[in-house]
Amino acid sequence: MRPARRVRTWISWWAITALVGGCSKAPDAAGQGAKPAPSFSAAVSAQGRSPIDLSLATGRDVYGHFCSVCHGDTGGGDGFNAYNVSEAFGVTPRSFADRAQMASFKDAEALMAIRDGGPAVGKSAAMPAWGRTLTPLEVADVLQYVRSLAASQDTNTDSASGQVAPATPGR
Amino acid sequence: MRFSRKCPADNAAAVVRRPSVAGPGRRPSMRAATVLLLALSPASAWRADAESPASRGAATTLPPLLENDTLGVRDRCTSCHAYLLDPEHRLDPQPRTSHPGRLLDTHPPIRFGCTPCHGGVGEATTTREAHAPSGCGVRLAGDAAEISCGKCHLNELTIEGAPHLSHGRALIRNAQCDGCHEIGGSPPRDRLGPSLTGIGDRVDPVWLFRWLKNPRDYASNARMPRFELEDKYIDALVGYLMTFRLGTAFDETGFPAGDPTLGGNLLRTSFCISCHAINDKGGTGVIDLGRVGSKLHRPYLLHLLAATHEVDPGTAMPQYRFTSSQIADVVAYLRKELTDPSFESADPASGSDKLGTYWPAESKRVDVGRRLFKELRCGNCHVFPGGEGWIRIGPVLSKLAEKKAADISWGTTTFPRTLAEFVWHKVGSPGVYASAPHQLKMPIYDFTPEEAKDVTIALLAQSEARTPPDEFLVRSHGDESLSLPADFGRLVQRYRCTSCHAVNGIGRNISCDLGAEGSRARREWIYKYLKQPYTIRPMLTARMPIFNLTDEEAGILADGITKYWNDPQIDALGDFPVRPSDPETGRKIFEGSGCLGCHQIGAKGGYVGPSFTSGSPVVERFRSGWLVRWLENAHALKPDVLEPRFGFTRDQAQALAAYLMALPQNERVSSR
Repeated sequence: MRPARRVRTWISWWAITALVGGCSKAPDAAGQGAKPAPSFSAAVSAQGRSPIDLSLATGRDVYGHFCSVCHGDTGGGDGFNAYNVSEAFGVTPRSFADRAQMASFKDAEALMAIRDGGPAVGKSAAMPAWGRTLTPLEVADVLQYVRSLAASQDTNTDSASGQVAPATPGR
Repeated sequence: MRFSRKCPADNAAAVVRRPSVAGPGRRPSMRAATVLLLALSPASAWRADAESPASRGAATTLPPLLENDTLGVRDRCTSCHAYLLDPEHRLDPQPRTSHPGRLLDTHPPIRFGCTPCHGGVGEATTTREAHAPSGCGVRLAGDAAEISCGKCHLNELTIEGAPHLSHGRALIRNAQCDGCHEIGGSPPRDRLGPSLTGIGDRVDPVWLFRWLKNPRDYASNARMPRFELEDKYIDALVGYLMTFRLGTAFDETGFPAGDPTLGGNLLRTSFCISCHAINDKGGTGVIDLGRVGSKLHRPYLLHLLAATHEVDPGTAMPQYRFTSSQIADVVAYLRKELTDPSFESADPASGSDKLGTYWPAESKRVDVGRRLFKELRCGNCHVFPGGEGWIRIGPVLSKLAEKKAADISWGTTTFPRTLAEFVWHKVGSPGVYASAPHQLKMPIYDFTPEEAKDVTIALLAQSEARTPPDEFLVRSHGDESLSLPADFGRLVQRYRCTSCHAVNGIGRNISCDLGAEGSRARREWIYKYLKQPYTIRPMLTARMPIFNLTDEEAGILADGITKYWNDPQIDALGDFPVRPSDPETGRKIFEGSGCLGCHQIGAKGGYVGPSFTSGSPVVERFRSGWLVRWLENAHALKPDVLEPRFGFTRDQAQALAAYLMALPQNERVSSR
C-alpha cells in the first residue's frame, strides 16, 4: 500500500556529495583547490580558515551593516546615501577602490578616523565616530576588510583573498 | 541583524564602578575577582586608549589556568591560547590568535572558562588530549562551537553571536519539526499549516496536485515538505482533500465584477508586499502571491478579503477595511495578472478536476487518499475536519545530544560513525539510511547543505544533561501570547499587530518592537500615524499597511499603546524642561556629530534614519524623556540600530533633544 519512492539511497548519497562539494566551503577559502569532504565536521570546521579569513569575514559583516550605506557595497564611495551626504556636507564618502590613495592612508590615521570620526583626522564630521559602537577588534577587522576592497578593485582578481598587508590595531 | 550593541563598555564600567557586583560574594575567591576586573576591563580601557595607546596590554592578559568551581572549570587552555583578549594578536597563527567576534565581552573567559563552550579536556597537558572531540563527534570549534550556546540559551530563537544556531532553530520552527518529534519538551504549538477545513471550496484541484508534488515549484519559500509520492497516490490525496467542503459554498453576490487596474493600484498602495512577495520580490515570511490567481477560487478570495478572520481564523493577515468593490478589484487583479500560465485551472462548476484517471472509482480514490492522509500524519501540521490530537511518530529529539553513535542504524552508508554526521546527513537527505523506500517516514524539506548544517547545530544543542547551574541559564518568552484588555486586545488581534511588530519580544521582527512605544511616542502622534501611516525610514522596503482605521479604533489603539506598552524607567524621567541655551548648544552638537549624514532636515541630509522635518516634526512625535535616553545610548534601547553610539552626556543629550524638538522654527538656520 505504501507508495514507492523515486530516490533511492545511493542517489541521495550522490546528491549530498554533489551539493556539499559546491557549498560547504567558506567563501573566503574558495578557489584554493582544497577538496572538502562531504561531512558535517568539514562543513563546520574552522580548520583552513586562517585568522585573516576570520578577520575579513567579521570586517565584511560590520562593513555591510554600518558602512555600506554611504561607502557602497564594494567600497566605491557610492552607497545609496552617498549623494545625500555630499549634498549636505560638500564632501563625498571616501572611495576605498583607489589603491594608491589607500596606500597613502596610514593605518593609524584610518583607525583614528573610524574610531573617533572625521574631525579627529581633520576631515568632515559626516563620518561619525564608531569607537563606542564597535570593539577594538571590530574596528581593526573592518579596516582589514576595507583594505582588501582596494586590493580587489585594483587587481580585479578574486576579492578578499587576504593578500593584503595586515592592518594592525592601536599603532 | 546580528549587530547587537548592548555595549560591553557598559558592563565593564558597571563592574569597575561597583566592585561589589563582581566581588567575592559571587566569585569563588578574591583572586578570581581581581582577575575578573582585569579581564573585563579592555572595553573600559578602550576609552582611555584614545589618549594613550600604550595603556592597553596589561588588561588583556589571562592567567594560564582558568578556574570556576560553579561551572566545574579547570582549564589550562590559556597557557597556550594566551592572547585571546588581545586584538593585537588577531592575525597571529594559532594558538596565539585572539578570539574572534565580540563574544568574550559578554562571556569573559575568567567567568566561563573555555571548555563549557569548546569542549575538550581543560586539565589536559597535551594538545591532543586537550582537543578531544565532544560527545557528538566533532570538535566544538568554528561554527560547531554554537552547539554549546544551546546549553544555557535554552529556547531563545535569536541568540546574539550564534547566527547558525539561531538560524537552525528558526528553520526547525518553520518546518514544524515538533509536529512529529518532541523537541525541547515543550507542548506542540498551534499547527503551522493552514487549516484544511473547506479546502475543497478554496483551491483548484490541478493546483493542489502540483503543490503536493513539489510545493517549492509553486513558491520558492513554501514551507511544506515533499513526500515523494507516485502520481496516482498524489491524485488520491487530492481526491480526499477535495471532499473537505463547507456546508455552504462561498457566494459571489454583492460583489461587482471588479477592475484589475484599480485592484493592482490598491494592492500596491496597501503595501501587501511588505509581507507577501510577488514572484520573489517583497517580504519572505509568508507565501508568495506570484501565482495565487491559479490557486484560489474567486468566491473564496472575495470572502477571505471581506472577512479574513472568520474565513481563516489562524492567519497572520490583518483584517483590512476594504469596500466590496475594492475587494472585487483586488481579486480581479489577482485572478488576471498573478496566474500560472502553464496550466489550465479546473472548472469548479462542473465538479471535474481534470486530473488523470488513476483510479477505477472515485470512492476507491478517496479511500486511498484518506488512508494516506492518516499515514503521512498530515494532521500534525494542519487542522482538518474531525482532526485528532497530535500523534508524534518521529523519535524524541529533546535529548538528541545524549544519543550514542553505537545505537544508530546506519543503513548501507559508510559515513564516519559520529552522531553529528548521522544527523547532518539525515536532515539533508532523509532517505539516506532507509534500506527500502517504504521505510522512510520523514518527508523531504529540501534543505541546502548550509541549512542542514544549521539545523544539525540546533539539534545537537538539544540536551537534557545540562551541567550549567541555573544562574547561567537564559530562557526566552517562548510562544507566550500577549494578554491585553478587551477592546485594545481585540483590535491588536484584528489588525494582527504582532505579525510584524514584536511587543517586548513577543511577535515577529519585521518592524520595530513596540514594547516601549508608549514611552517613546506621544499619544496624539500615535493616533495620527495609525490613521495615516507614512514612511519613517526611507531605507526600509517594508511599510506599515494603510488600515483605514475608524477614529474610534485609532483612539482605542493609541490609548492602549500609551497605557500598556511603555517602559516605566523611561517614563520616570518625565519631560525635560528646555533651558535657554539648549537649542543653540544642541545645534552645535548636531552639526559637529555629522547627524545630517543620516537624518534629513529641510531639503538636506541622508536617507538612513528618520527624517526630522518631513512626516511629523520631532516635537510632535517623541516624548522628550525617551529622546534624551535614546541620545545617551540608543543601543540600550534598540541593540541593532545603525546609529553610532556617540556617548553624549545627559546635558548634551538634553541640549540635542531640545534642538531637535525646536526644529520647525530652526529649520532654515540649521540646514545652511
